[in-house]
Amino acid sequence: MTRSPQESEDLLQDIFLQVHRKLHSYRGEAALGTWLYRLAIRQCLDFLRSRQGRMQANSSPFEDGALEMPATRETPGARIDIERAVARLSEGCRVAFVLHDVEGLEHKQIAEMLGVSESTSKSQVFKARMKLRAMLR
Amino acid sequence: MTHPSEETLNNYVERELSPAEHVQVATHVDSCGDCALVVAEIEHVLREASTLGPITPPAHVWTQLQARLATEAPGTVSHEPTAQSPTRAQSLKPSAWWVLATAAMVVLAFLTGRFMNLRDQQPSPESAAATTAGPARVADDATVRERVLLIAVGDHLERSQMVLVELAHADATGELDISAERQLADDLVASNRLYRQTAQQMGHANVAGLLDELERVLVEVARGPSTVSMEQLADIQQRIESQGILFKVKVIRSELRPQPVS
Repeated sequence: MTRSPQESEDLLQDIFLQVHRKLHSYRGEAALGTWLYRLAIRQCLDFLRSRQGRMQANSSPFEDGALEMPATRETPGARIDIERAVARLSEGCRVAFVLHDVEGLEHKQIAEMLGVSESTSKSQVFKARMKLRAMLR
Repeated sequence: MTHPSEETLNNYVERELSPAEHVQVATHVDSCGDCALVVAEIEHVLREASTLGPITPPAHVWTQLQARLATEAPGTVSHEPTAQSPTRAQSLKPSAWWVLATAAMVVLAFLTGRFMNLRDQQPSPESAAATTAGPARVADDATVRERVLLIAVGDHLERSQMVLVELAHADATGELDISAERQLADDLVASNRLYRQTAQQMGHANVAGLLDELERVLVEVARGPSTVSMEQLADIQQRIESQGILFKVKVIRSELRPQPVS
């Protein structure tokens, strides 16, 4: 998504620093893992939105086609692996797919974390699966 | 029957259709090659997704992080008391928080890695240098991460044990409100899943196995009703007792306790 190892690593460090700074506000109302997930996802999305803002003003990552990577790296028709296929999804599809189909979270949890409706989460996962289905053929 | 939509076939795979719809679609899929192919392809995507495991960031990330934390001025972290009354979580000592914060990285590492395609990238010159020049540091980092994971799991097991003990010892003459336990179980399911996956990746089969069993019980409580009858409560208690889950949690917790440094 970032296509930059440096950006990925910086973001990971930023998340940890945020955890360090905000631990005092954790009141134990949710499990630690849930709290961390929320914080990490918020930080990731903020980063992506900030970069998206520079590329494409006034567009949400949960809109169709938002930041979808062009499939230009592979030979047309060549089978690609799941990792690279997921990398090509739009941000909204990608985040929802990873959280639901890779991490196993429920749509209700995803909706709460991302601040979207459950139907949006379901819709994004469905779209992701359809796109991946085509890419993995 | 006309061909079901792709969305319906997706819901069929997800088992989100009503029983009647499910049977109807299953019957159609059995006799329709096109729809059977769509279903097979969706299932293939899900199987592929299940192969995506956690990602460990390069060793130099931890080193850089330590350096950044060292430069954080003490005043940058606010510790003002919140308006809410103190909770058990708040009563943890700062040192415990620090350990938990570090433990977070075990979990966050693969999450951001997955979002950010860390695995797609070629190793940077710095990471290659760090890996070559500092094998001992890499081993130290791995040991530290493993220790903090186990401490974090210990904390998680303690919270889970509280829920299970409450339920196992609950006594109801009529209906019993278990909404608090249900909510806590719901919260614990997400973190349980994370810890289980991480424990699996780090080769702690016994911890991962316990977390797998624990997750089933937590899911059952989290997805069950907020108010249970005597019979339903007895079922839950029977489930907890028959699997010896409380005993296993106690055993693993005792094994995870930090050993005194000699």
